[in-house]
Amino acid sequence: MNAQSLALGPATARASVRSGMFLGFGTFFRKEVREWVRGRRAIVVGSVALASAVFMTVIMYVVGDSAAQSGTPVSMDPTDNVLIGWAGQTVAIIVLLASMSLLSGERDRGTLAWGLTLPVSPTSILVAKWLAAVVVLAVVVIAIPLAVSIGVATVVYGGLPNIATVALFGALYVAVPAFYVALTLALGTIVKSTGGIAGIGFLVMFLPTVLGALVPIIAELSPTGIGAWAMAVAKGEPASPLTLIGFLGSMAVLAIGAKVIFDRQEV
Amino acid sequence: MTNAISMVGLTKHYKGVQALTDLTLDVPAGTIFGFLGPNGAGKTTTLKILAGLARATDGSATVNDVAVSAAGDHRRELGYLAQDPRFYGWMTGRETLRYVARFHGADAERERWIDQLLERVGIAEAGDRRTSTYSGGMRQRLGIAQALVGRPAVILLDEPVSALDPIGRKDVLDLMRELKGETTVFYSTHILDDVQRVSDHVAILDHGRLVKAAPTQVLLGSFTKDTLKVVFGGADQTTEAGLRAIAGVATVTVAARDGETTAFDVSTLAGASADVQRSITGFAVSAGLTLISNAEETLDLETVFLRLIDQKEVAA
Repeated sequence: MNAQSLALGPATARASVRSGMFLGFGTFFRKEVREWVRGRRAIVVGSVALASAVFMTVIMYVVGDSAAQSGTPVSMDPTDNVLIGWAGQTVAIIVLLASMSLLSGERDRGTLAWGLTLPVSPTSILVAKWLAAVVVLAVVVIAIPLAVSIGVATVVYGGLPNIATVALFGALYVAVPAFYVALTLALGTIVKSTGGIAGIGFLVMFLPTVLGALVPIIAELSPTGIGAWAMAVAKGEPASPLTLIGFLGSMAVLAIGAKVIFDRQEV
Repeated sequence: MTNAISMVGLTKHYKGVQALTDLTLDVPAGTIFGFLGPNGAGKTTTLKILAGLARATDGSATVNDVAVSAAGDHRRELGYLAQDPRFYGWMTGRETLRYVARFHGADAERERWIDQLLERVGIAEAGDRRTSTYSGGMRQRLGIAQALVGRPAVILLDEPVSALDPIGRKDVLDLMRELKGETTVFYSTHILDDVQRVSDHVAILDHGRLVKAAPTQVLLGSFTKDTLKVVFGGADQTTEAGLRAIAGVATVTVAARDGETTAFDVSTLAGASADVQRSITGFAVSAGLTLISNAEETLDLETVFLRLIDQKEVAA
């Protein structure tokens, strides 16, 4: 250090900042988005999602003839082939893996403790982490792969997919990252290890399918079915309102539970 | 004098451990306040409660008149340095300061202030390097800068010099001295020599209970008022008896002899040291002695600290 003196002086030029429940939200949100963009996580996650979406879009073109010969129904409709890859749990798995360390990683690195000494409320930290992750994942895991798939399907199947259907599906499908990011964040307020969060997350992902085979209403009410619900709504097929109710209810439970626990968090 | 920090009945109980018991303490605004105690005394717990990293089981606290709460509004009033500060490794030191400054609102002179802080804490050359490349000492320096960047009313420093080499330690102590009057510095440490050099107030904590809180000089004075260090030139065999004969003197012992110079430890009856000092001056004149020193013995903080802790343990 040199001999230059330091005068703190009155902070006269300081503007007022938001206080209360969302104290420090804007600054923490910008940090979160920068962290996603600057790191390799968004690129890796986006690349996997893109490769998966393109592969599923062209698969029918590649294996269509042999599938038809074996009696499997084959559609060469560009819209069907853009959406076919989104019926499974690929995006859910990608989101779970990408978001499982959002809170536990910060805790392990010691930056969560530092963050909680700054003028930022615990609620702001949770909401900013959730919103930044959902926005980034919606772009790299849903919007970009869907846009590229539309282009690929147009070339491969010789016609433009129904943009309104695909766009509606994309918008509704954001509920998938919204749910799984909320789940991993809520788990992160209780479970300290990233592995534990992933384990419980996968259990939540697959258990309703198993139980739903025995008691159908469980599968219908499960928020993990929100992706299939989005697909049905976009295609104009019957979609159970119970799934939407289950999704909204579970989001409320996760949000309230995470807030209550995180407000009492000691690090 | 107004209080920058007020704690009333602050209590913290962890599973099976009573970390803090009924701590009531005021930290006057503008002071450099040393918070002392042996390991496990509850110093870090207190700082964590004030910073918002731990919740008090009972009691309350305010920072610059804002109540300490989970919502974190009081954290706009303070800057905090942890024992082992950690930052986002992908940010540079400068970006880290910008990030913290934004939480405190827009500041027209922010960039100049950040330059000044980086310079002052001695990491200006590393300001544009990622913090993942910083050593422990550099992180400590950046930690001090980020605690100051929001120009807070109160700075909480948890063992601010423990990770620093002697030069870094001196730099930080100098910086703390400069901050006197500018802001309130409330810091924990176990290096008593530093506290004596820098702090104008001290509080001593042991087993989660407040043992003593006072201005540093008052605390030191309360342990020294009944002992005088008297040094004569030309003393002989009769000098000791002459001192003993002075009214108010309890005991006299020869502390050291060095040629013509003799040092005596003179303990006085309670409250009599000022009269005894005057009598010793008269005695020196009448006995034809050269009076070199006639001052209250000063104990260092370490001795006072150990005596206080010992007294408490004996009382317990």
